[in-house]
Amino acid sequence: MNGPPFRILVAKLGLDGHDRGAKVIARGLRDRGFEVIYTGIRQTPAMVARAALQEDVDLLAISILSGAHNTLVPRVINLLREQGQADVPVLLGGIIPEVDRPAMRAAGVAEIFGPGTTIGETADWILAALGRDE
Amino acid sequence: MTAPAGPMSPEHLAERLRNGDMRSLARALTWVERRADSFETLLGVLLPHTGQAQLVGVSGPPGAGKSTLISRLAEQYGAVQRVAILSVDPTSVVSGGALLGDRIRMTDVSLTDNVFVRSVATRGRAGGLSLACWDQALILDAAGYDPILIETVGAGQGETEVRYLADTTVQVEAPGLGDHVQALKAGMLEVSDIVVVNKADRPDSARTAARIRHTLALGMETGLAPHAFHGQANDTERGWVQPVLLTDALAGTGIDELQAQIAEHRDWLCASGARWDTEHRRAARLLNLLVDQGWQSRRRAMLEAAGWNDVVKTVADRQQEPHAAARRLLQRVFGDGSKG
Repeated sequence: MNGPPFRILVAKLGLDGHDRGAKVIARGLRDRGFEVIYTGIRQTPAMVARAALQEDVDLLAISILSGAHNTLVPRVINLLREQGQADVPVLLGGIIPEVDRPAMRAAGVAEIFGPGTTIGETADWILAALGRDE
Repeated sequence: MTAPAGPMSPEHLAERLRNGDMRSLARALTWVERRADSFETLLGVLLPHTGQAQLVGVSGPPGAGKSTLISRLAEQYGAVQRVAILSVDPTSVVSGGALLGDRIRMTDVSLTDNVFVRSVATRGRAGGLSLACWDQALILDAAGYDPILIETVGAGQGETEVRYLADTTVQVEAPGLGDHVQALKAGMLEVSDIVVVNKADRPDSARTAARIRHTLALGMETGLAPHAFHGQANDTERGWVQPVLLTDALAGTGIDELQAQIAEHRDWLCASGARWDTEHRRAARLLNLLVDQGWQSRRRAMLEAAGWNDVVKTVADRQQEPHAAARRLLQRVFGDGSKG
């Protein structure tokens, strides 16, 4: 990566202990030169937004497999807006049914990555979104 | 109160963060880390408002419980005052990326408005801290956070850099990490102000604490007291004897005592005059780091002009003895009889 590394928050949102995907993404992005702050599991929207604020992250990647995304993800995005971070892109990963995706995008999610997405695809998308194509 | 997203003058940013705006504080910490255009102006504007906070370095081997201990401490401080945490994790030498995971133990406590947690990657620096930490501690100080708890990378035997930055250093050990000889080697143990043996619920914790006390006492007997740090006056003679405390960070046991010892060390620094040594040591170290940084980028050009690549080849081919080759390179650079 050219220039200083981007700072990315990888967050496990809600009552969901399935964190292998989040850990694989966190490690994979680290290997692509990102600085990844990992929150650990069972985070509330307030905890995730507070971490995004204090860490001044360039991008927020939320992993959620519990099915609670319709409730929790808009809450996080609203908190980001309230704290002056409306410009921070939000990525969603995990199990997000096709039928829910339009609502997630309408709520402000920039991109949704489901099972089978490679680290490379994710990293390339992030670099393009943050304006640093390689 | 939140800052607008656009560019901001350093004066404006300084004012906002001093008024308690977390977004501005977080951005300022990024500015100095990325060496943004006006970061020096920002630090200059903030400088008159610094010097209040106690910088507390917390070091220790990976898995000793530093993050958990710090989150407990922050919880206690946070009930009555504003407290900041700078938590350092290593940058990968292969990718330049980093996985910053200390926050996992701190997301609860970071919801308190009095507690500010920031994760930092070392970005290529050895010694357990990043270069930006020095500036970031200054900014947190100006923003009114006190104390500032600085967690080094998992460390113990070589990572003594935090001793220069911090007013007070806490070395966290845990039972079951090596034999008595480990405690006899050099390292943070001999330059820390307070020693904590965490995981006090483990059966061998009392024995670990006893071994550490024994080692520290040996240092005093041989006249090389643990605090005879780089030739400065001996802390033990001035009245500070390293306490060795037992804590169980998960259960929250022993945290009161640790907090009390940190306060006591601060009082002692002021009363004994050792505070001046600390300030002086910190200033000299930071200047050294910054001058070195500039020096190294010039050094490369100077050495290349002196025939660096050819000399490397002759040494690699075993045609030249390396010490003599280095001396000749230096002579060519400085044009004198420098012995290097």
